[in-house]
Formats: sequence, structure tokens, C-alpha cells
Amino acid sequence: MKRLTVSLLLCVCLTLVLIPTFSFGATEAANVELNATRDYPFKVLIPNTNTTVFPDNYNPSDPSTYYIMSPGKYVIVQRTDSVNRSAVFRAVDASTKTPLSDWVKIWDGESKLVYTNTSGKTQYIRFEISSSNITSFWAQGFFKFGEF
Amino acid sequence: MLGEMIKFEINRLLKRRTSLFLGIVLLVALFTGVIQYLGISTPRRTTFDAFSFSTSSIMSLLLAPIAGFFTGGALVADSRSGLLPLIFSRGVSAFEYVTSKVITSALSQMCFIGITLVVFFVALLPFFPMGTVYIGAQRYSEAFAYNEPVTYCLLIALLFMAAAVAFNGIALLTSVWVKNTFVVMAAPTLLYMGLTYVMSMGPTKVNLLDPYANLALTDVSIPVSILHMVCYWAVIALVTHVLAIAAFSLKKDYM
Repeated sequence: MKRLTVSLLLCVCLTLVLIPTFSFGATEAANVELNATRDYPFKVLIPNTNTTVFPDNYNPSDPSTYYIMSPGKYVIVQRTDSVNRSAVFRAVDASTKTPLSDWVKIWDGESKLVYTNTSGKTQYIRFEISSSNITSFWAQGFFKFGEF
Repeated sequence: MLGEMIKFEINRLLKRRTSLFLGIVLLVALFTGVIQYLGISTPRRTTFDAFSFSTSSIMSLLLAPIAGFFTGGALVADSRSGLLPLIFSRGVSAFEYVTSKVITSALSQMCFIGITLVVFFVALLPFFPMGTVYIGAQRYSEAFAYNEPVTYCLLIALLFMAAAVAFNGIALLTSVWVKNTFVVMAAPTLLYMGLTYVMSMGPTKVNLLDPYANLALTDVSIPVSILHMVCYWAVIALVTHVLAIAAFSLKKDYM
């Protein structure tokens, strides 16, 4: 009986400790979701004096190989690596690789707006990434999609 | 005697047509940098921004070979053409000869790079309005470049002049021992590229002494100001030229 009481008390304590965490977590997530961006991580080897397209394995039937941008959506590139080299990013059409934006130069730790879909229709995009460095390097971060 | 030797060397340099050819090559390359600049997003395109961006992109790749081929082979050319015994037979000492070579080649490098950059800047004027530097600045001098674009551009011109003199010093120092003209001219480029690759191996951090990081202002960021970079190249220039004078003066066999 004693053991049962202790177990019950422990359960109650645990519940009291965990419930607020879950509820706050849920509240925070809901708040963030309202104005939030949807973040997609990337890690890419930027070649020297050349360009690469991310994701590189484009397949029209696989939505994970490109990004969908409805009208009015924007994308910010955030670099979270600490490689002290600049890289340039631009949005391109996922299938034809036609440039949709200018190159935007981004240093490590910086976030910059790369493209806003003002075409009035849904676009399927990928990112072309380049650098004029003479050695290749790994860059990583997030593509942050949001809506105005 | 040293004054006469310097005068003689300057006259020889002025007669060289290679300078004009190399100047045109450098200008064409700088304009390709402008084409690259036109593709990059910026709040406003200006002359100073285009100048700064283009020079920082192109000079980091072309300065070493251009400097090497411009006056890097000055010593070895005299040695191979048999001019050295004639000069020494007129009472000119090895020290006077090599000092005049070092002074004239360093001065000509500075004039060559300076004049090319001035011509490039003037050529940009009809295409872009005057304005500040937005994206073409070295990362740790961005505020300074934005507020003082003229001073910033003068400083980067000084940086490239100092670097050209440093590359010239490396070539002259090599030519004390190496007699192959091409190897001597290519020596600054080979050393520059070699050191860059060795020092760029760190996956996350850039070495402060990395020569590429001290020239590629818009591609690599090291936490120093533009003035530190000028000092970096000035020190290399001074050390290599002094070593070249000492090594040549102390050499026994000049053939």
C-alpha cells in the first residue's frame, strides 16, 4: 500500500512538473506559427569559382527536391555556419534553372532576403549557390519561407 | 653611381611594350569583374561600389601573375643576356646594381598598378553615378567604406600597390638563385597559391596570414581593418626586397 501511495505521489508530482512545460510549449509554438517562417535546413558544398544548385536531385514528382512558393511568399537565406567566406545565393526555377532573382551576397551568420514571389502564381524553386573563393567550402543554414 | 643606375633602369623600363599589354589585360579583367557586379543585388549601383567590388574580385586572382610577369624577371633577364659583366666592368658594384633594380622595379610596380586603377575608375564614370560603397567593401570596413568611399578606394588602391611590390620582391629574391625566366616570373603565383591552399585547409576559420584573405576583400573576411592588410603586404614587400639586395650583394658567382 505504501509503495502504491509513493508511486501515485510520484506520478502526480511528475504530471505537475510536465503539464506546464507541455502547455507552454504548445502556446509558444502556436504564437510562433502565427508570424513564423517555415524553415528548411541546408548544408551544401559551395564549389570554387563555380555554381551548385540545391537541392541537386530535382524530381518533379518528389516535393522534397524543390520548394513551393505561393504568391506573396518570400524566402530569406540564413547562414548559421562560421566559415569566414562569402557566398552568393539566388532563386531559380526548379526545372529550367531560369534565374528568378539577382545574386545576393551573404556572409557567415547573416540573413538576407533572396526572393519574393510577385509573379501572382505558384512557383517551384531551387537555389543556385556560388562563390568566387578559390577553395570550396561547406555552408549551412536555413531557407526561411514566410508570407507578407 | 646609384643615381645613374636608377636613371638607366627607368629608361629601360619605359621602353618596354609589355607594360601596355599587361595593362590592357588587367583592364579587360577588371571589366569582367564589373559584369559580375551587375548580377549581384545591391541597393544602388555606384562608381565606387563597382570599383571596389571589381578590384577586390579580380586582383586576388590576377595580381600575382601580372606583378611577376611585369618586372619579376628583371634580374634574371640581365643575367641571361650577358649584360651583367658589362655593367660590373664599368665599376658598378653588385650592391648598387641590385639596389637600383629593386628601387626601379618597386616604383614601376606601384606606378603600373596605380595608373591602371585610375584608368579603370575613370572608365567607370560614364556608366555609374557617383555614390557610396554598398556591397564591395571588406567586411570589417563596411561602415568606413560607406561613410568614406573615396578614402576607402584610395586605401584599397594602396593595398594592391603594396601587394604588387611584395610579389615583385618574391620574384627578385627567387631570381638570385634560379636562372629560368619563366620559373622566376611564376614564382610569386606559385607561392601565393600554395600558401593559400595550405592556409585555407581549416574548415571553419580563416588564417590571418592567409595571403588570399588579405587580398580577396569581398570573398573572405578576416577580423582586421583594411589598414592592417596594407601593412601585411608592405612588410612582405620590405622583407623580400631587403633579402633580395642582401642575397645578390653577397653572391659570389653572378653568371
